[in-house]
Amino acid sequence: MAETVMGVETEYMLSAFYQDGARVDQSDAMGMLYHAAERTLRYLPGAGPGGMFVENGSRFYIDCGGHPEIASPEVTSPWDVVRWQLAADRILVGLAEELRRENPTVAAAHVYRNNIGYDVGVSQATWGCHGSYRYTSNPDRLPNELVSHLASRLIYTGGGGFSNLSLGANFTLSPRVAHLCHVVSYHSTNARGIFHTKDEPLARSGHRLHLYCGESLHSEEAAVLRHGTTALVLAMVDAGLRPGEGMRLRAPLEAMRDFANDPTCRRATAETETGRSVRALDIQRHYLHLAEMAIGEPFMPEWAEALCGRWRAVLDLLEEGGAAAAATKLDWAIKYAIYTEMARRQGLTWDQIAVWSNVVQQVGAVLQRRKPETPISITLQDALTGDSPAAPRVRRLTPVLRRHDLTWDDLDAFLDLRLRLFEADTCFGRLGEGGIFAEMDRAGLLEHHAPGVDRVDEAMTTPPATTRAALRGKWIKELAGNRGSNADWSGIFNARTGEWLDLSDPLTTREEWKSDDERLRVMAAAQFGMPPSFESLIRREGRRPAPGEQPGRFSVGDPIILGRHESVDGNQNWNADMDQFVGQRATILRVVGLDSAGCEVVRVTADQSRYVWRTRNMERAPDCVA
Amino acid sequence: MLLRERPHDAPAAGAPGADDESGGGRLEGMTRRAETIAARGGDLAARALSGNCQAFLNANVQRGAQ
Repeated sequence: MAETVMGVETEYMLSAFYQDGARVDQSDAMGMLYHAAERTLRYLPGAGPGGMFVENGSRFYIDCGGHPEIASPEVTSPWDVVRWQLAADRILVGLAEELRRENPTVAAAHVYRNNIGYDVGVSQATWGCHGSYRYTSNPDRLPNELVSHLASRLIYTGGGGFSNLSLGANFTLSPRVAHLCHVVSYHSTNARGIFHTKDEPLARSGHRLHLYCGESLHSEEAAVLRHGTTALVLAMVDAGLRPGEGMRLRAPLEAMRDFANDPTCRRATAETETGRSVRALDIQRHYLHLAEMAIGEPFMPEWAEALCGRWRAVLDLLEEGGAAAAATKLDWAIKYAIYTEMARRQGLTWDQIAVWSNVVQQVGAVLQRRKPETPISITLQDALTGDSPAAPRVRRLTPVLRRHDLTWDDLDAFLDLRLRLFEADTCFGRLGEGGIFAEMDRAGLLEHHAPGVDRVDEAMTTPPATTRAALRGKWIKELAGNRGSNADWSGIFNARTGEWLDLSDPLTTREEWKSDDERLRVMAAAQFGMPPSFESLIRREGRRPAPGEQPGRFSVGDPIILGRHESVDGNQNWNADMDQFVGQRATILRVVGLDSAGCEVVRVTADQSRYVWRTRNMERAPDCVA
Repeated sequence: MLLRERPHDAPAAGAPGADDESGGGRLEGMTRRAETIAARGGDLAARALSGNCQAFLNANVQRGAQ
């Protein structure tokens, strides 16, 4: 049977508070957390991308934006993805506890695994949880075959919650959907798409599908299905099948939004390219049917039959009873039950919440036009004063409220409920004590556990046995604390011997030690794949080279001597921390593109890929001059 | 490629239809469980809330990333 290789990167939120209740500055908190990790985990520093690789084969790092992130080790089944993700949760909770012990002035440090930050009008943060899947087919084929699956799977993979782009409080099965604005996109922090074209294989062959439309899930069953169903669809594509055929949607983004707004899972429909009207359930049954027919074929993994059983069960459940049927099992349905009750206790129904959401959105739009710099939520009640710029709109909306037996006097109740829902949704994903999901689970109220997701404590220190992560974990244990040794997804550098363990095959179980020169060459290619041409980078970024720029002088893997940047039109693009690396020998790991002054910039080994370096100010290392 | 046909309506192990509950009984059971989740979850959420939601949300604003 075929082996699938997959994993997941999860972004966490850490909130730490001093004894006096003041919040610990975010960068200080990250420093404390990383220090706690250095003191308590067995690890090797990351060679290229930074952070650290820990003994269970995963990578822990502080990601851009200043939040902790853990990328799981490579595994070969969806049950193992979830097992190592739960292990990552426990590692993070342990580090937060260690942070508090090491810093007596810190009273509390909480870790959250959420999808949305409810800071409407401030930063509109989302927290990513990206699935990674190895595949071998032509990347151009994937969107056509996968997008309908990704747009419809949210009926069981939705994290549930509310949009933080809206002043309202309409429930959505998948809050991440509001942040998607393209079907296919290269970008990851804005202009996001359902399908992400990023392709860093981190291996010497094949491709890596990197999906960021998915969400952090606390239900084991939902998380197993998220990874398992997607891996099966991908296996069919790799085998040359066309599972998307007949189910391609005319407007996938709109379909996804409609599906996300339908807790019944039975009302929302979308039109296929062939003119059929289909529900998310219909699309999912289409993919399931194809997967079931392929069970036993050599291209399918051995766990396919078991996974299809779970897949069918959840679709049947949703077909039969929608949100109520899944209220003990799926993240969004659990939340829907709780939040419906919270609204009921406040005297509001979802229909009334929808009316209020529409009303405050309209009033807010008027206020924002007048005072764009002011967070709207703070000034919304000002709209009710007679001299408010929104007064005419308020007058026009009054009959709308009346039609739904609401009055402006009820606005406070709605705004209060909205904040309570947002806080509850934040607390839902708090890990450990005080987390709503965690407490419900402890109370035995949920039926989300997936048989096969077990021995989580063991997975905190043990790597998966079926991939290269086993060797990575073994040698991290062996070399932890050895100065100069480091790790990467594609290998381990042993500073004691000067040799490099080649892990560029994700499924390798054989120890192959190679010379350091060979390491740099293989790592550079394995980590980033074939570098894009300079012309394509320029096209992608829409920038023009600076006068005198000679892009393409260097390639990935070239040894160079780092130089201080000279100013170009007053732009030096320099950080004082880079001084320490000037004059050092390094190897180019990645051609990034053009900086804002139009100078070609690259990432290199010497600073563990932390800064971008202009190639115009570097020299080829002397022993390599042609 | 030879693909095995499998009847569309065959219930998998663990799926509704694979047990011996009648349809009506199953739906009642689901509704009961959802009501329990709602009531207990509502109580838990009420206890978990800080009492000053705006302050809680302000204190937990952070930049997300991807």
